[in-house]
Amino acid sequence: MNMGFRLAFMRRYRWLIMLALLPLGVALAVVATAYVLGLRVQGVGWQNGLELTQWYRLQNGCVSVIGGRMRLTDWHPVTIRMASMRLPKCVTGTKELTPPPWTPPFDLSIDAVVIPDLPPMAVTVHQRDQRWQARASYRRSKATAVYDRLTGRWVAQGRIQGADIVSKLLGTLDFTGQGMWQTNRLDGALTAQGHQLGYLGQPQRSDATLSAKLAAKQWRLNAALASPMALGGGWILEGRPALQAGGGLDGVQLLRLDLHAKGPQGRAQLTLNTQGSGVARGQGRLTLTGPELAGTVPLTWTRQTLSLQPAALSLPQGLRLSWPNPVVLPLALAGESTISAELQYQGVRVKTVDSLLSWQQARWGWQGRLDLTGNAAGYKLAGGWQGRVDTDGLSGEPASLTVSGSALTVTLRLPVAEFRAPGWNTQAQFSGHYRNYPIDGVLDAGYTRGRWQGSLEGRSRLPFYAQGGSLTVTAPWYGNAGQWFLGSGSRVTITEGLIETVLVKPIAVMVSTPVRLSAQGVFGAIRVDAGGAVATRWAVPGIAGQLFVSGRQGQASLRLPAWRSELALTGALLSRGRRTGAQGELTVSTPLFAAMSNGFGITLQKGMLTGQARWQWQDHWQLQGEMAVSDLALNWGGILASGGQGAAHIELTQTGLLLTSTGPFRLAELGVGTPMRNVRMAVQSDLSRWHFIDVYAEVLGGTMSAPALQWPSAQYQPVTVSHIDLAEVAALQNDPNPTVQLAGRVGGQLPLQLMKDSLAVQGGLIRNEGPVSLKVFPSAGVSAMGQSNRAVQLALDTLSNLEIHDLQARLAMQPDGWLDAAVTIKGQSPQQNRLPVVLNYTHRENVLELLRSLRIGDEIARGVMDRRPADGPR
Amino acid sequence: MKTTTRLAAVLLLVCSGLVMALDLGSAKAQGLVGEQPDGYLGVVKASPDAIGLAADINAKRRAAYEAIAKKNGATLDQVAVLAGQKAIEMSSPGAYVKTPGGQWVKK
Repeated sequence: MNMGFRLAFMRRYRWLIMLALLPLGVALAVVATAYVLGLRVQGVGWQNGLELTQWYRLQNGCVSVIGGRMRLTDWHPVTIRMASMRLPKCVTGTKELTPPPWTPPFDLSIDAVVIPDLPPMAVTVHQRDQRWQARASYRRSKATAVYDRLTGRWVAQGRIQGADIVSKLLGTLDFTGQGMWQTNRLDGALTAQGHQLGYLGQPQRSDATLSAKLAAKQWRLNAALASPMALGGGWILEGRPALQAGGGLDGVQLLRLDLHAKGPQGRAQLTLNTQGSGVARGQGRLTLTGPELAGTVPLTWTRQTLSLQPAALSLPQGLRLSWPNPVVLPLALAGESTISAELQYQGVRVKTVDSLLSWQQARWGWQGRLDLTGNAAGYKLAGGWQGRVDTDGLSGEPASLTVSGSALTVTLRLPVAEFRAPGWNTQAQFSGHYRNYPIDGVLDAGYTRGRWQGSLEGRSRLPFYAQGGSLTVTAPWYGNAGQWFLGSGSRVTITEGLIETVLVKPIAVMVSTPVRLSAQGVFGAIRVDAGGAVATRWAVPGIAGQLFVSGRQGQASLRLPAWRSELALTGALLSRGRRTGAQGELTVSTPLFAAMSNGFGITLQKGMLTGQARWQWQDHWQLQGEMAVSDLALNWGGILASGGQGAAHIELTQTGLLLTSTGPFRLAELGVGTPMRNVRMAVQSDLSRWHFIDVYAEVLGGTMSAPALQWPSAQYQPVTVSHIDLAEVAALQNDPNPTVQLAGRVGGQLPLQLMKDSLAVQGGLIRNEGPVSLKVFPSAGVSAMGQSNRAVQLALDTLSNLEIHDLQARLAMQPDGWLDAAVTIKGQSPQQNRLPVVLNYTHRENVLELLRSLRIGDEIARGVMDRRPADGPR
Repeated sequence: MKTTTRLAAVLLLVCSGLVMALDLGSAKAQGLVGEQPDGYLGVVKASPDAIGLAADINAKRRAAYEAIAKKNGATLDQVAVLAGQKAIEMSSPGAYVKTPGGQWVKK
């Protein structure tokens, strides 16, 4: 029953079923046709219409077009929106342009049509009644074209802004065209008018006209400039150049061109002409002249080819380009040519091997091998690459370059597999060694968001480190066209290591804000953090600071927190001819500590050192400046100096260091066993020889002075002492019950020999400067001496109270400190009825021991007691 | 007085050596460090440990020399040289010592 009902229903309404299946059949037919035409789709979906994530078309196994995010929103008219459509490089053979096929009415809009060598354009196409209307736009440039498929007529017009093609190009180009497009026939005429064409930064502006015709498979092109036109880079096209060209679809028959251009590097002239009417061949010449250009390239052309005869050209920057065999370039929209050429830059040559240049319309490509050989900066270079370059980028084997010298060998390996649009990714590896120290690392690079970026990772060891000193470089970088940056976080670290017998603690140099690298120099802030250094006798604490660089100049601010020392440094690069160097200023301010003097024979106790200097480096160091110390206290063991202050001019040259005090250097006190006060002198020294000028000091109630002293010196140099208070000399006994009491003042000359480690006196003479008195008080020792000998008792009685009117001491001291004194004393004893007394005695004593002992009085007394006078009292 | 000074210097020198005896003895035995005429330890075979040890001991020696020099009215270098002579004399056979000419030799 049911089966019968169904058959009856199908018979009665079979037309309705057929009608319902018709769209499905059509759809299947469309899909089948599309598949046969090479169309493939991915990501089919439905959301208020058919959606395709991606589609593409295969032609001869090559993807000729790729569409992204296509959406069919309506069926009548067919309405399609597409996010992108790309026409990648695909060699499909040269075919004649055939008119579009019949299609149902449709509206198509594409956000970005990407064609190699052209910017991405927004395109809309509408078709009604077989009348096609297309619009394309990019930024401010627009073009429209209308094509009537039924009549074959087409018209086009548009305006192209120069800046939309090249950012610095100025002016506009308006064009209009019209013609016929039918099967096996494309005719038309196109005229274009350029307005105020020029280049940003160059004053020349020019109008231009262009007309082109295509009729009966014969074409003709005429182009002319109304006035000189800027080309960029300071180059201008001179005169009113014109181009005339013509021919058929099989080649050029007429070519006439005369271009003159001049620029900062020189002049270029290109002439092309036709040998005769209807012969379709001719010749020409490219001539380069000028300060940086030289060479001539003879040219010949035929209907299908342009030949560049063997030539050698000198180009800017010392480049030299040559080719030993003719280069034949087909005059066609597609072709290829073998090119054997050599590029030379100073001592480096790059030579092509098995090289082939090919092109198809706007797409070009080169494939072959490049061999690099030569020398640069004293290093031998060798490298090569084999692969292909085209509008999409590079492909082929990794490029390699080896740099080798007497101590350095580094090989750079640059894969090019990913070195293509849009990412241009590569990861170059370098490895080698400097002497026995390895160098290796990786340089990552890629192009994204309109700039290059990547990272550098490198490792090595510094050659002047005997141990340790491993160097690590980590630097994110980015940039474009001469503006390169090292990103924040870039750092160079050097591990702890030994330089001879100095232990250098870790050093880190970090980029705190992005550092810009350009032809003008380096710009940015760099932080330095050094752990200091330790040697067997001294140590320098950690150093931290900032370095600000701005092109060819910079300034540094460094601190040694442990010493509270501050160092400010400015510097600028110098260029004088081929010589380079740097100069700047230096400011230092630091308290003085004992820890600073660990390596010296003195100990700094306190003080303040400040200094300012100008420095210069060009082949050698130079420094001139002023330094000052204040509140200085130091000791040489038992010799104490305090209250030091002074200023000096300091000069460091190739011959050494020179220190010259400005004004006297002063010491409040110098303790050499007995205090010397208000010491002052001018000083000049090269640190090996010291000159002291106008030396003055107050000592033992008197003064000592010298017009000049030199140390070290074998000469005996006069020193004058005066007003020495004998009471203060006697007080050196430092005894509450002194045995000897002296009064009066003495003075005289002490010729000093100041050797490196010793002091000597020769021919010294000290005399009294008025009445002098001597008293020897009773003591156990004195009594014992008197009791032992009557003559001694008599002498001691006489000396117990002596008024001296004439005292002379002739002094000589050997470098080992032994003093020989011959003393004559003339006076009278008030207790002996003013008995005249003449005392001659010689005395021998080690003065250095005396001074060290700080008990000079005891030593004198003991000397008197222990030694028998050479000449007794008379 | 002179005898007292020198004895004190030597005593202090020995004491400073005893403080570091184990490390110093080991370093001397390995030929890493040696005594110098200037009274300070020198590094024969440079290594971070040897330099650190020498720096530490030399700082202590210097402090001891300075105290002796101040007490006896001598200069720091005078005391150090005196101590250096004693230290070289007391060095064990086989240890490195520096000659006045600056050469390291095994005693």
